[in-house]
Order: sequence, then C-alpha cells, then structure tokens
Amino acid sequence: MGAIPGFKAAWHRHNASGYAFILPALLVILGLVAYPFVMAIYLSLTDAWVGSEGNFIGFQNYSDLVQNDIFQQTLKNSLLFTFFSVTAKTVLGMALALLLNAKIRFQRIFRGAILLPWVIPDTMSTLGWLWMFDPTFSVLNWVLTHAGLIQTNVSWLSNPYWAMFSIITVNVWRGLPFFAITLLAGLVSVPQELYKAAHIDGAGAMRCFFRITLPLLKPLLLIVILFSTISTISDFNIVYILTRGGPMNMTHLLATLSFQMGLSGGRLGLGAAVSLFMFPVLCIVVYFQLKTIRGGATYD
Amino acid sequence: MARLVVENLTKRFGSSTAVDRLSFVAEDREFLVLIGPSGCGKSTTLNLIAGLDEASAGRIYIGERLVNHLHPKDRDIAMVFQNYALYPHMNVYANMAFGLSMRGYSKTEIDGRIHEAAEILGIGDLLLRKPKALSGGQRQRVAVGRAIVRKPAVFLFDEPLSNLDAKLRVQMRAELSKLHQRLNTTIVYVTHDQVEAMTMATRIVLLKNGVSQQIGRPLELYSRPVNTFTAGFIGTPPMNLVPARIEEQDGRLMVAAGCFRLPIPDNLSAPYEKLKDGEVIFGLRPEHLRGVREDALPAGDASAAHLEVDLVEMLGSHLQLTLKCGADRLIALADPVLPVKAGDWLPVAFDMNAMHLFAKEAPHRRIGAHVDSPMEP
Amino acid sequence: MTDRHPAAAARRALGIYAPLLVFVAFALFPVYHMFLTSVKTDRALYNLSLNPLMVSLGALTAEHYRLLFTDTLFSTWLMNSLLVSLSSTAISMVISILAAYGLTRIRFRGADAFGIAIFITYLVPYSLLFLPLTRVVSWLNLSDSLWALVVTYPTFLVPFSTWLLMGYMKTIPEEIEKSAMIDGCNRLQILTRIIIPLAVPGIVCATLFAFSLAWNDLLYSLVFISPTEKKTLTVGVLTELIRGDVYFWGSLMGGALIGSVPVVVFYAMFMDYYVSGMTAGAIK
Repeated sequence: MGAIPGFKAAWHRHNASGYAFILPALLVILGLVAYPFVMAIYLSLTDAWVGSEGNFIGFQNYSDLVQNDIFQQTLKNSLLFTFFSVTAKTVLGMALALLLNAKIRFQRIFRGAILLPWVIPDTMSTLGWLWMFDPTFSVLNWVLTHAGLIQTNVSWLSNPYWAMFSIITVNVWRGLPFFAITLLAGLVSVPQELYKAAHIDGAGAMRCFFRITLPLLKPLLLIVILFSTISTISDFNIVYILTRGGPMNMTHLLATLSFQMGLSGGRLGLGAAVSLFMFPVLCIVVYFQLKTIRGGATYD
Repeated sequence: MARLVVENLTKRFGSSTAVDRLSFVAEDREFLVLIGPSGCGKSTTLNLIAGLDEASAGRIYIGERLVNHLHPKDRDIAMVFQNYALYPHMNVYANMAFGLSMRGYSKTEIDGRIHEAAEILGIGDLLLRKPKALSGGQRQRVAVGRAIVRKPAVFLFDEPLSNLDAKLRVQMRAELSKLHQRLNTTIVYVTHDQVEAMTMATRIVLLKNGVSQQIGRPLELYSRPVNTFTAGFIGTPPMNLVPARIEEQDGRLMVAAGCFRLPIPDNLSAPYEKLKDGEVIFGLRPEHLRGVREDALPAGDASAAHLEVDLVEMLGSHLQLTLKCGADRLIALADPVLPVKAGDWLPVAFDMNAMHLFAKEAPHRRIGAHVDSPMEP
Repeated sequence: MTDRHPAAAARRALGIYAPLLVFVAFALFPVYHMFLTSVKTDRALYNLSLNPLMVSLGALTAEHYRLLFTDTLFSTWLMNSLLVSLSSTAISMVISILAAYGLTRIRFRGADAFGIAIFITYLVPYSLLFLPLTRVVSWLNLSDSLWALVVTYPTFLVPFSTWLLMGYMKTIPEEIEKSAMIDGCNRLQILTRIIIPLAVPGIVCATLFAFSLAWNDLLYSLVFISPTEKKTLTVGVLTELIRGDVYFWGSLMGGALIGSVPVVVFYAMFMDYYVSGMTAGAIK
C-alpha cells in the first residue's frame, strides 16, 4: 500500500481554495482593523501630534488621563449613559414586544411604525431632536408649558443634567426598536403549549411572564443587551450632533472626547489613549457574550 | 466496464476509526448493499467511494482506474441522497440537466437523456415544476432521474428510501429493483433496513463499527450467518440466540439451555464433538420453532419442549409467540387458529436441522464446517 | 384565553392599544415634527405664539427645499453619499460572500480561529480605529478624497456582513453541495450557481444593513474629508446649514428628511428580510 500519486496534492488543492475565499476579508481585517488597532496602541504610548511623529513616552498618556478630571467625567458619563440607556431600552423594549405580541389588528403597521426610529439614519434624526431641544423654539417646552407642567423652559442641552437626560432619550428613541423587534421574535418562538399548561395550572399573566417568558428569553436578552452595550458605549453621532460633549464636558463620551483631543486638539497620542479605554470594557463584554452564546439555552 | 473494487479502505476521524480495512468488490451490474446499524461506517464508505471525503488509507478502483486522487466529478459516478438534494431554485428539468451541462453536453443530447429518464421514471409531466411542488416520492424519482441521465459507471444510493412513508417505501423498492434490471448498471446502495437489503441486493456487505462482518448473497447471510451479529441483524423477527451447554447423553450430543434439552441431529453432530461439556450460543430462527397442540406432537418426538407463553401476537397469517426460557425469551410461530394465551404451557417443536451454534467468546463466530466469511483467520 | 365578555374585551383592547399608541407616538413624533418644520415658512417657524404642532395652510412653503438644491451643494453631497455607500457596499458584499462561504463550508486549518476573529472584529467599535486610520489614509494619499471612505468603510461593513451571511449559509443543506460537486462544479461555481441563489434573503438583508451603515457614517466623513464639495450628506447637512450662529432649521430638517429617504425606501421594500435579519443575528 504505497503512496498514491497526486492524492495529497489534490486534496490540498481543495482546501487551498478555502484560503482563497477568505483572503480578501483577511486582508481587510489585517490591513484595516488589526494594523490600525496595533497602531492605536502604539500611538497611545507616544506623544504624537497631528503631523508629527512624537516620541515614545510609555504609559504617561494613560496616567495623565486618569488624573485628568475631564477624562474622569467622561468615564462617569459613559457609564451613566450606557447604564441608563440600556436599562430603559431593555424594559421598554420588553414591554413593547409584549404589546406587539398580543393578537392585535394592524400588527404589521404598528411594527413598521415602531421600526422607523431605527431605520432612519441617526445622523439625520438626531438633527430633528436638536431642533426639538432648541433653547428658544423647543416644541417640547411649548407642549409642556401649555399643558401646565412647567413654568420656565427646560434647558435641554445647556443644563448638564438635562443634557445627559436628552442624549439618553435620543439613544433610547433610536435603539428601542432593535430591542422590541428582536425580543418579539423571541416571544414568538416560545411554544404556546407552555402557556396553555400554565393556564391549566392556574397561573395568571404576571406569573406566566416571570416564570415562563422571562427565563426562556434570558439568553436572547443577554445577547441583545450585550450587543447594545457595545454600540451604546461607543456612540459618537448623538453626542457630537447634540452637545459636542458639553456643557462643561458633562456629556462627553469616550468617542467624542477622543475626537476632540485627537483631531480638534491635535494630540493624536492622547486621543488614541482615550479611545483605547473602551477596549477593556469591550473585552469583558465579549467574554460574557461568547460564554452566553456558547452555552445558550434552547426552547427544549 | 463498471466494476468497483475497494481495497483495505480505512477512514480515521481523529482517534476513532469509522471504516477499518474494508475490502469488497461490486462486480459489473451488481446491486451491492452496504448495511449495518447506525454508526457502522456505511455512509462514510459511500462518501469515500464518491470522493466527497478523503480516505486515510486504502484504494478505490472504478472500472480499472484508481480513483483515490480524483475529484468526484471525474470518477464517473452519480449519487442519490437521502434528502434528495434537489436544487430548490431550479425546476425538475434544470435539476436533471445541471450535471450534464456542467460537463458540456450538447442541448440536444441533454434533452434526449432527460426525456429518456423521465419516461423510465414516469415523471415526464413534472419537468417544469420546482422541487417544493413535488411530493416525497416524486422528489425521490427526480433525484434518481438526475443520476440516470449521467449514465455513470457506478450508481451510489445513500439511504434513499429512509424519508418515505412505509407504503411508498415498499413501492419504491420494487421500482428500484426493476430500474436496476432495466438499466443493467452497477449499484452500491446504503441502507439500515435489512428488508431492503434482502429484497434488492445481489450481494450484501454487513458492517459493524467500520468492520465488515460478512459479505455474500442475501440467502447466505440468512441461512449461514458467520456470527451472532449477522444472525441477529438479518431476518425479522431476529434469530433466537440463547446461551447453552453441549452435553452428552447416551452417546448423543445434546443442547441444554435454560428451558430445554434437545438432541443434535446425528448428521450434523460431527463438527460439535469437540464442544462436549462446553458452553456455546444456540441459534434457531423463529420460523423453525412452532407452537403446536399437544396432540399434534408426534409421539416420542425428541425435538420438542414445553415452554411457558409470555405474549401472543396475532399477525393475520400466523401467531407470533414470545416464550419464556429462563431469563431469556424465545420467539416462535404458530397457526393463527391455535388456542393459546399468555400463561399457557405450550409444546414447541424445534427443527434442529436448522440450528446454529456460535462461540461463547466474542466475536461469537459460528461453529461448523461451512463457514465462508472474510473474518475467518 | 378568549374574552367572551365584551367589557373585558374592551378593557383588554384599551390596555394594549393605548400603550401601543403611546409608543407609536413617541416613535413618530420627531419625524412628524421634522416634516412640519421643513414645510413651514420661516415666519411661522420662529413665531413663538403659534402652535408648533400644526401648520396653517397659509404658512406652507417649499422654499426650504428649494434653498437646499439651489443655495447649497446638497445635491452634490447626495451624490457623494450615494456613490460612496453603493460602492463600499458592493465591495464589502463581494468580500463578505466569499469569506462567509469559505468559513462555513470549506474545512481548512484555522477556519474556526478566523471565524472568531471576524466576530471579535465586529465587536470592535469603529470609533476606536479612526485615529490611526487617519495615518493610513494619508499614507495611501487618499485624504480629502471620497476613496478614503470607500477604502475604510469595509472595516465595519465586512465583519458584520460576513457574520450575518454565515448564519444564512449554514442553513443550506450540505447534500445539495455534495450533489453539485458530483455534478462537476468547482467551489466557485457552487458558490455562484447554488449558494448565492439560495442565500438571497440573507444577501438582501446584509446589503440593506451595510448600505444604511455606510450612508449613516458621520465620524469617518468628518475625519477624512474637508473640502465642501467632497462632503457626504451627513457631514454636509450638519456643518453647512449652520452659518455662524444661524441655523437654517427649515432646510436642515428638509435635508435631514431627504437624507433619510433612500434608506427608508429600501427598508420599506424589503421589510420582511430586514426583520428576519435583525433577529437572525441574535437568535442563530
């Protein structure tokens, strides 16, 4: 039983085509993701400015940032913003999904309407919110005043606390459809027999939700929450359009601060360090996400 | 011509061996069936023959060509899959034409072949339909048609009837047999259903854990099984297999099991002499045990035993009786009108001329003179 | 659980439709307001005594839209966005389809590792990479050129599309491909003649997502392009309709709405694919 001519070669040709197929994607990832990522790390360890190479300074950027109160504020902002946004989206999304799941007429129309904020590019819709928050002409202020709920106009974007509320509101407005529609799909796939059995056992709506629906949706919820956390914490558009990070840096997120420092301010090294702070957080998130998906529960 | 030779074919997946030094020949125009329980390696073997997977060792010859290093499309084979594998986005005609047009046949040639196959299979009026508009049986026929138009040297079938309901399966079995006769080609057919194997095969290759147990004509596997695995796998209901001792009584050899003690016919006893006082496994097919009425027993018949009935199943043409035999159970047949119920003690006639004895130690080979199997040392 | 009692049914309906309508109002109001603003005369717009929720017929105008097309480079920005989005989407889809097929079907060493790498890349936010990418872009001499965008957009388009397409391709039964191999197809032919036709829903979905991601980009366009005539819609509307302290709200809203139209239209056309794609990512 000697060697068979051409045998190994032929099979390797088969498998070689696998490499050929992923080559373009590999190039994109290596050239446009991996390489810039490594470069970002390198930049963060230098005092590079736009237009100049800079010298290696080790972790000085990082230590400077940690002591910098604008940066500290930014971190606080990021965590607050992400936490409240994602929580609101989760709760409201779940509620909306339950509503949409009920046997109602015009379900498709409702679903289409609900989806609109997600579908419209947020660079466009946030402009609409900018106008709605206008200091002088805000329609929200008009409505609230005429409903008798406020006496003086709310400074939606120039008061630090209202500004945070405003960006959270816009983020929730934009992100809610994603939660609602995805959770709706999850609800639909829960076998109806479970509810029938529970009904026979005498369980009411609340019991059904907390004992059946929620546990079964847990894996899906976790995934959606994690996806959303990643995009929320790295958000740029909403803050940039509404507040540029103000007032007094009270709405800066890591992405906008990095932009301001790195490009507007020209300090590339420092800007890179700011944006890299996102990475440890994301790693933790990725870790949990992979664990969840790998050990995902099914509806069996 | 279209002879398939498989020589010491081996396939390893990591540390487990799916196919172990398998050798067999499918002669030109044979209908060879690969059969065995799940996981025995039959589908893997078929994939290796087709070229869809790479053998770890061994050689495969189709016609007189060594095909190990050839791409499936160059091996001159056609394959029919369990799930039909029809292209959902093409209609029946396009499905059947696909392989031919990939090979550059002319439009007229393709058209001719398709209509020829459609006529044989009776799917002529389905040509413009898409697979989702066809029933299971129709899809199966189209899958077969797709293979026929290729006029390959060897047809490969991978459990094609497993997805059909029982009635359709019986019908398709007959059609496939007739098809084989009409096309006169070599077929290698994989199944786990021993009825299909018995009815359609010219020869059977029985596999267990990647190792061939017996290769031969259906009747050989049925009446001269080389070990207890084959004996129990082929034939339904399966052969009765009970542990027993060989004893001597008055110069005759006896088989003594938990519930009976019967003499071995003199003309058969020679090979068993050396087993005196030894332990064996006794095998006898249900059709060779008959439950009879007390008065129907020939007087003094030494080949009968009285056994307690555990279960009576009426099958229309006969009764199937499950009898207690110590810790084991025996299956016997009887006339449908025999008055018997569970709990009765019934005389059972044993046709000892049809008995088999198997070794007590694994792999439980049959003991006797006429054993012809690849497992013999 | 059927409500046979009419009062109970009415209560249930109220309990469902009322909150639902609140959500719908929340979702649609900003868009409604944007639209209203874009067709109101400046006089009506900036008159604090008028009700901003409505518009009287006399205050309707198309002036803001006209201004967009005559006084600004809006149509240029629109073209730029279209060009960049379409080409980067097309390029990314080709790359992704190839990669997705390679990863799901062809067993080769490192396939698993690469699959995980794709997934991780998808999770790396692009607001992390833009600074070093400015260096890459200037090395490639593409600063201030639309090509900078076409080259950098695949960064975030490819990983996501590949991941989505992989999910779809996995559902195609392997036996169909085995059959095609026996029929004589090589890998590329299997991809083009069998896989792609069967993966159309996934491809439509991924294309939709990719296009809207590309269209919506603000950061990269801000960073890589400065000349006014080269700007994409997102940047143009944001920066050029604000002259000093003066916001041209009517045109701003009009521009924002027009800027939303292509994406919304595509979604309306392919709504079902879109929803299944959204949920596929999470469920599969």
